[in-house]
Amino acid sequence: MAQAIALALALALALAVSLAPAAAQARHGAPPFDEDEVARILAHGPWPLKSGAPPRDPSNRVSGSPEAAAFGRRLFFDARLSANGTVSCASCHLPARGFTDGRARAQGLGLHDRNTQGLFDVAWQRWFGWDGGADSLWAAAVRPMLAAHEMGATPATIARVVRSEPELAARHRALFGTSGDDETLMVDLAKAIAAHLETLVSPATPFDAFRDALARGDAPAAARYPSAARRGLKIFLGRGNCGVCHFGPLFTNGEFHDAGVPFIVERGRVDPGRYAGIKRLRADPYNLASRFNDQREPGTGLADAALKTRTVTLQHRNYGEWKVPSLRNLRATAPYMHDGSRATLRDVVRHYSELNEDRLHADGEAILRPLRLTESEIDDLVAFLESLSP
Amino acid sequence: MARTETFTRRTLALAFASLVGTWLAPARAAELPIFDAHIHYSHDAWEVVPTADVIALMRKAGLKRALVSSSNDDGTQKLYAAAPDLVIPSLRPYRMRGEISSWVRDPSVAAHVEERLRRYRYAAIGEFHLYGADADLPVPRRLVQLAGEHRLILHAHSDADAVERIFAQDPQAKVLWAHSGFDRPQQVREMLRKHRNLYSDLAYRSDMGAGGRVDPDWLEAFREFPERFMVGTDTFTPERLHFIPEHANYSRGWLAALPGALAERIAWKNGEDFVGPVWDASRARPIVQATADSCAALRQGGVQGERLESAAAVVVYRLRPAPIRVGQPFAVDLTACAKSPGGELRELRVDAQMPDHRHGMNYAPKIATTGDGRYSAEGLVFHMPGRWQLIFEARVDGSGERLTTDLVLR
Repeated sequence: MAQAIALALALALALAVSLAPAAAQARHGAPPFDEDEVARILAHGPWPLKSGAPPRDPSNRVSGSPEAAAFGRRLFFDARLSANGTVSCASCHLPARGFTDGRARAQGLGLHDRNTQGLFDVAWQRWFGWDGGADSLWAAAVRPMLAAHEMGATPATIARVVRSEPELAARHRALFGTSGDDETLMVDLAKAIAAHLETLVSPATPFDAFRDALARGDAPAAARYPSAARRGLKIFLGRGNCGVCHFGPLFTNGEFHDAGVPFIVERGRVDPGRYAGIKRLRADPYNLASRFNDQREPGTGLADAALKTRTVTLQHRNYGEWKVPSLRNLRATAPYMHDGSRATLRDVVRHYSELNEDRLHADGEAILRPLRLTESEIDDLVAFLESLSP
Repeated sequence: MARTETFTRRTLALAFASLVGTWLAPARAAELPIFDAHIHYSHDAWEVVPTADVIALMRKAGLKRALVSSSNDDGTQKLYAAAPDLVIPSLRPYRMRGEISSWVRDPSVAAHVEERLRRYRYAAIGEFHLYGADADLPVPRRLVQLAGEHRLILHAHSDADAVERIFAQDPQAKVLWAHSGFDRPQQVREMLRKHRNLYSDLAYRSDMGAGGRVDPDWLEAFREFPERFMVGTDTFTPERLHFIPEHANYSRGWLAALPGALAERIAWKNGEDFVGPVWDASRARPIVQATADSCAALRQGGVQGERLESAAAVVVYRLRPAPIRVGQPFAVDLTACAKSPGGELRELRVDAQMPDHRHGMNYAPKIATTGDGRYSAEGLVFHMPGRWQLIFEARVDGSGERLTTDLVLR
């Protein structure tokens, strides 16, 4: 009922804005939003979520612990965890760049095949990494530590660093007790890092202010949202069909799609995306089916954190699918796509405008069609995307 | 100190064995019938050791009768159908092996047990695994209650704490304590003193004795409670079904160290006296033919939920949680049956598609059944808004049935 009233209010406001005096309409060029569009705009918020604190991860016993998050933050910046002491998590995930590095492909100890992903709002994700090869945030934190081209460490080298450094050893012990084997100690660190990452929540944006104004029927506040962004939003909701994948307050459905982005890394070598991710997930000694999952008495059915790991299927179509990224905070995280092959948001929009249908399988995602946008429509869509950054 | 004690105990045992050995001639020992109180015939055994072979092994072993429970219960029913003179069914609550630790918190287990109790007759509920305070959780409580209502034995693989809690819930309960809790004879005696409806099986333990010898501590327990112990093989892997004759001979070996009357009691009479009458009474109760069953109820419109029908099948489903939301895992609870009472629904698949997008879900839901037409499909995720088609595919006798419904997510 309350929802219905909110919707009615929002709709009345949207119509009021659109039915404003002709002069104002012309000046703003503000298109009217219909009832369905208003409902969908409201569904992209509120942000931050009403529920407040990020959800706790039942597979990580220090999830939600401020002490663990502080320790994790310390580790995040500690290059000694890498093989040669030069690379930390923050080497690629720079806080000032939305936790990315500005490069097309990440550079750790070696050159990565993929673009560095931002780390905001990861607490709400189901899968981690462009290929979703990790089923928990802590498993996702283990991988770069061990990957030869990222930090190149081993459980033994990591354990040595912690044990030889009294401050690290003491903080680890305080959170996790006396450490077991090297592998367990390394996973403990990953869990602390995960506790830190959970706290990274992207800030509210001009879009959120507009959305909230619509929700509470505040016309003057809603009118402050730029017309170009409003027109872009209209395309996003309508012809673009973008919200189907870039769904909800996070602007991602958390799953994987093939949007026609090529994935040959170099001659003779492809990066199969989700297909490899599911295989990697299944072979991962740190997945939720492993002994490192702290959910000792898993609830049955939906309460079982590892249910997704056991039910996810490997299908041909996964070959070349990539995680749908959130659209929040994009201004800070160029370049874009899994391989950083699009330098600007304009290039990204142009990709969807000129989508190469030959790349899409006849049995593939049927809603992907070239949008054939005009230059000014591209400007509008970019303006909308930029309004999803603070 | 410990060494001396062990030595003394062993010396005594040997001395005693040589003394009593003459009481029971080997020829007579070989004839001793066995009541095997601990047989399982679980799903992984059905192909590698066919029913007929199991019965042959049981007969070869000289079993008088056996208390059989299986994961799942179909194994027990197979054996019972093949040899009703030999097999006394016990209802194991597990539908598969993996439920050993999860069943205590799984309400569908209680529903499953109730359903089986309506359809089949048993002497016991068990063998189940239950420890400490878990015994007071709702699902185990319900099992204790059901055993009381149906006047059945509880075959409990439990520590003493859980056994105490069972008797606290129902002082009239009859408990067969699997493996005697793997406790030492002194503790077992204490428990038997406290609870006169507690009986003990000696399955999968070797400390009672062997080859004409009996452990003196156990001997004291047997003398104090001659009517409360019985033996059992515990065929927890398929291979172990072949161990039934071997185990019977092993039992005869150490029982030979006991006075003949006591040996007979433990070998078979206690099982017959404790389990036999419960089974006779249970078996005498008619199975109420099942208008009460869920398929009959379904056909009569008595099952709540969204109803779908095809030519030969009918499905009533509910979404959990409802309404479902984009990107949030959900489950479908359903009853699926053949439309006509004579038909048989043999297979069921639950899936979903986005017809306008030409793709389905990224997950293959896990389907569990509680029997009698009831299923739960867990782990579905609709990861995009739009029109989804929820699909139930069933095989009814020879025909493939497809039932669909559209769900629009925003």
